[in-house]
Amino acid sequence: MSIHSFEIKKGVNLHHINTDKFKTATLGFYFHRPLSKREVTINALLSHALKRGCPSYPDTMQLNKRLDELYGASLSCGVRKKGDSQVIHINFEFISENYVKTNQSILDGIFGLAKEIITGQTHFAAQQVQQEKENLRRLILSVINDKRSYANIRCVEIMCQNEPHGIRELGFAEDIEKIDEKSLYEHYKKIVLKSPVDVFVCGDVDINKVLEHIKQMFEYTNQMDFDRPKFQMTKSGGEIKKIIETENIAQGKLSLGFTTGINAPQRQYPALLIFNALYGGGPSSKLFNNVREKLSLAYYASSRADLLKGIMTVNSGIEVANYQKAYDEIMLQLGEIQKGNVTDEEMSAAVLAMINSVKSITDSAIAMEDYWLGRLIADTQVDFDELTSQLGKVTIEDVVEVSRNVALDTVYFLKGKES
Amino acid sequence: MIEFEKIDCKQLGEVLYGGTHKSGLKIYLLPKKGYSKSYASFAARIGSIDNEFIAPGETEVTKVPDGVAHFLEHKLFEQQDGGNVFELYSKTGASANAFTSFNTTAYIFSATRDFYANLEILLDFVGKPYFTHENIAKEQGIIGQEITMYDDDANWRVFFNLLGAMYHKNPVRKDIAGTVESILEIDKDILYKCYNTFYNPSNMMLFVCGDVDAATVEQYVDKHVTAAPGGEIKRMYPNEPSGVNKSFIQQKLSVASPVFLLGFKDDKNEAQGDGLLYRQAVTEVLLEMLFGKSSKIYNALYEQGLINDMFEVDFTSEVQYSHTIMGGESVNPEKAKEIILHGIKNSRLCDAELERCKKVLIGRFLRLFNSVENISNLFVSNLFKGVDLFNFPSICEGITLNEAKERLQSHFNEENCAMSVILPH
Repeated sequence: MSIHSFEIKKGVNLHHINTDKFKTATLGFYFHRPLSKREVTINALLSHALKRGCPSYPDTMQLNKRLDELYGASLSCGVRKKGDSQVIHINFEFISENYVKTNQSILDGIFGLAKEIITGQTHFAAQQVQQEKENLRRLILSVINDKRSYANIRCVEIMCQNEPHGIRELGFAEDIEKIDEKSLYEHYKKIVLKSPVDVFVCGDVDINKVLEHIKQMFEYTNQMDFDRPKFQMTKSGGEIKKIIETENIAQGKLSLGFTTGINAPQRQYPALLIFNALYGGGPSSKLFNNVREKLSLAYYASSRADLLKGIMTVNSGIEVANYQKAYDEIMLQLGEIQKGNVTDEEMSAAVLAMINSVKSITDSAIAMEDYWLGRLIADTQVDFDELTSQLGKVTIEDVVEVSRNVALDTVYFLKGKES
Repeated sequence: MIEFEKIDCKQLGEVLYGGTHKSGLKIYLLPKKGYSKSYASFAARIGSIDNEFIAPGETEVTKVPDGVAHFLEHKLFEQQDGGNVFELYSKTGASANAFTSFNTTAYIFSATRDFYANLEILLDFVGKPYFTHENIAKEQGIIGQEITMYDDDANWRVFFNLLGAMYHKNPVRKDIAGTVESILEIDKDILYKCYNTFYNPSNMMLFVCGDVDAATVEQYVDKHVTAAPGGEIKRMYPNEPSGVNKSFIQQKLSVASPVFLLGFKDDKNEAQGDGLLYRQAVTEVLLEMLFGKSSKIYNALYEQGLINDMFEVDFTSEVQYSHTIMGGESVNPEKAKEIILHGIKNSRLCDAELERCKKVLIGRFLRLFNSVENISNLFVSNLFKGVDLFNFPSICEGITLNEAKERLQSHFNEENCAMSVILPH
């Protein structure tokens, strides 16, 4: 399933994914900002403040009632890290008009809100901003609640400590206090609205009507930058960084960070995806079959490769006493691939599993939006059929060659207090 | 040949075909055009609550250790040649998994090609248990790590602590996977006993969602599901006293701020079939009116910084138990509880709100049909309890303000309310 892109004006692009298979349609706005210590926190706060109200519905309860009237349309806002940028996103999902009896257009209703919430704010209410500051502060602190993802986040930020990618996309608790409703509004008007933006609409919609709405929305914004922010691959830093931290937990979390030297714009990217599937991508991978099934060390042991940064992480939950065993096995399995010890069965399993997951993306609107967003930032627009065919052509030799570029950079272990 | 009954849902634009195979297996198909994936779920009506029963043809009650259903789920992936089922799926590229809930164990796959080859793998392996002393010992290690992982998980702990507080005896109060100790009691004989009792086709269902043909599915079932229908399984559930076991429970974990859940259990559970669905719909409408994002209570809590937008409210409607659970992160769970209880007491339900909330529910229901996984998992659990989900929109539309008010009175009883809190160390 491809996208049809329309340039509304320099820096504002609309992408249409045309399908009638969903009961709902989605409308997503993605503003691109370079990740930086200076503005990461205010961008995160802005994403939360936007959903609190707009000129016609200054009160959050009234705004939510309006969404209810549109058959429980959903509005969600946040920030996402993509390479070295921070993407501020505002997403609507609403019922396709084919499925409900209604005498008002749901699409027009949604755009009525989108125009005010996204480009038509006239100020932010002091009390709402104060509440969202407190929410953001707690959200930042709560990153530690999910230990599995926390270990991965720590590993990546240690690995990329001198790069924008090492900054957490929610920002810094200590930078929240100095923001107020005035500085937030200034930032919104002068920086965010002038940033490059991608708009996605997915579903059975009248695209001409959507184009008209988007043109109106962005009539008065003047984009300063027309291009999405650049990103750089993480270079291996020589000596391996080893960090052990302690929390009051029962199960240790081991997270290993590797540089791969390969990302989406490169010719070998499909081979990297197959390598990752073979190494730790799922139940047919070497990590699953050895760390979990053969040695019974963990319930999960998996790897994931980044689209843009040329890095890969391996995550596993283990008993603290098994740290060395698990570490050795994870490295041993990488060594096996590097030595070329890959069977035809393992190879074909990795290719089939990868193709299955690429094709599955087309069954979810939000997964498709995220895929295309990444591809737009990478500036390599490969559609699902093309990627599938590239994956089918990868050979064992390609995978082994890719694996030999993979180098350990960071070892992070979150362990429990000694019992 | 099975005569499939066709059930239409015009508003959804979906059709469901259902029939019973000669083995007693129920087969359902929901065709989905335009999707890349097809999905199949082969499910048995055995969950974590089924730990006391009389097997067909027996008179003695069998009691099994906590966590058996989940243990069985893991163990069925083992093959006689020492390999596992994932190796078979790795030849087709399907994404396969399984899960155990309180009431159901389901083996699932989704595939973008070779649907019938995958269906054969599924029907074959679930029908061929292979348990040995050694492979059970290995699984005790893996599941032990799974349980330990959840021991650190605040959202998991706060939920099971609450169930333990709400219920005195109903086995829904216990962790689905059991405990590190209880799974050590599991042996070969116990696993075969449970398997032979609950994995008879007449206690099972095959649900398929995708671009799939009914007659071909039936051929594969003919080939792989050859057992004869079994007799009735008598399931024993203890009588649950009214009122909660404990009104408050707390635990300390490594979290940044407190996490809380507030639960209300129903005393009477006599509903069946459409009655269960009606109870689900009327309660969900009521919960949307009281605690939805447009409600007074939600906004009061939010504006006072007592919840964030991860606050969730959910109603569970089963034959043996039903309850509402709500909560999330909060700096002051006690204060949040006070506002919730006060808000319920002083609520003024009105028709305009009722109509608005019905729209929200119908929108939410339609949205479920975007995903083949959601459709299948929902239908399996509902069909097992005799609920036809297609009736949801019409039942929902028919709810009156008086019905919502009555439900408010019967459900939100402070004697049946418990709170569970996780505090930072």
